[in-house]
Amino acid sequence: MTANGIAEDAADDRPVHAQPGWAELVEKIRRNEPDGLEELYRVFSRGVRFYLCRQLGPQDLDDRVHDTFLIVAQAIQRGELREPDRLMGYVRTIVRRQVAAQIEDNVLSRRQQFDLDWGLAVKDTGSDPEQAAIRRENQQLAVRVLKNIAPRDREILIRFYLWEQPAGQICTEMGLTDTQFRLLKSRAKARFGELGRRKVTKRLVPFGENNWREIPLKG
Amino acid sequence: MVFVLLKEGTALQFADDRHAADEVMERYSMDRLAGQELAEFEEHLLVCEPCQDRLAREDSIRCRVRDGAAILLPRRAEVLWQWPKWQRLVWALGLVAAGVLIFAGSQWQSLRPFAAPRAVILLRATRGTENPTLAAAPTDRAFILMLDLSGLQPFSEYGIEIVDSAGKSAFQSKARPQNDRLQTILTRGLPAGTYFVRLYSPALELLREYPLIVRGV
Repeated sequence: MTANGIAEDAADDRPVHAQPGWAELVEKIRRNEPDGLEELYRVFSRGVRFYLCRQLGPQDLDDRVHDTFLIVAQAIQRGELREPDRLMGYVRTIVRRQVAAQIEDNVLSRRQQFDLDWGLAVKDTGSDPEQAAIRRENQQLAVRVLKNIAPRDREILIRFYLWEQPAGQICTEMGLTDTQFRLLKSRAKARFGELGRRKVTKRLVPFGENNWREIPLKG
Repeated sequence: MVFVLLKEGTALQFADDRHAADEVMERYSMDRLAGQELAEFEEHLLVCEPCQDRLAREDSIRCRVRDGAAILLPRRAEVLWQWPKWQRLVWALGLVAAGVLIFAGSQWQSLRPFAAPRAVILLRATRGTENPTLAAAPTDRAFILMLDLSGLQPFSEYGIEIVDSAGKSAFQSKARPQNDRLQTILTRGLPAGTYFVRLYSPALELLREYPLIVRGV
């Protein structure tokens, strides 16, 4: 537990998922035991999927996750992982390389596309009417939620997230101590999240016995 | 397994069976973790579902606040600008007078205005889920371009070039990185169109390219 009261809810006492012994797992994969590969997949699949999706988006996600596991498993089987205890670091390195390779591919294909067609430089995803409508609706919802929170909370969120001002600057300009700032920010985020959820819930109306249907928000 | 992440010499991160602190989560979400801190956090993230969920929530809040505030703030500025001239003048004079009085009676430091800076356009390599549209800047208006350097080989200085859709150079500059970011100001803005922001090493090797749309607000 910490003295400032902020980190308490974050750096809490929830145990991290029990970790398998990496050396044992690596040895199983080296021997090509199916349960070793299964375990590797079970432990890392959600994290790898989350990381790749966050960096590259949902397109071709299954293929990318699959490729990553193949690379990791084959590398282990070839004995390229010299320190089994560093398995997590190794998986991270492979995932980051996958991301970097994909970004490089995107740049290259965009350049080739540009060479072929001078009129087509880049796809503006904003021009898709459905996506644009969803984005507009989300923006309007965010505006409404921001308007509904206390002005000081709103100011903290805007300074911190939009203008990316450092904590020290926000504290100085708003006359807050470091602890006050962290408490207010924590409260503002909770309030913002709670109001956002409430507003989304209001948009849900019963449709059938156990189904809910989303209806467009007016105004 | 023990993770210790250090910030300015202080151990602030989880040990043994703890999760990442909110502050670390926020910094990661804003691409402000680097080096050993970044590596250790990402390794933890790969196997920790609660932290993945917390990060997703953090990303969502950041994204929504940015989206909402970006609309809310200009709207207020526009409303103010639409007032009749004499009303604006009266308000301006009133505010100036009030400002002088307050300034005389208190510390200046605590009264610095909550003024909006220039538009800041943050360019990231790729961020699929949280950034469904391309980075967009306002037409013919000054803006600050901020480039995310995460994952790049560090140099003391980088070259920045902006080319239009025909590949014609529209802007060139050099800048020194700070906190894994590179910042440059386009004082005259750019005309509407599609651009590519190119990042070069000091040896003029192309390191990264970011698409940028410039359009009317």
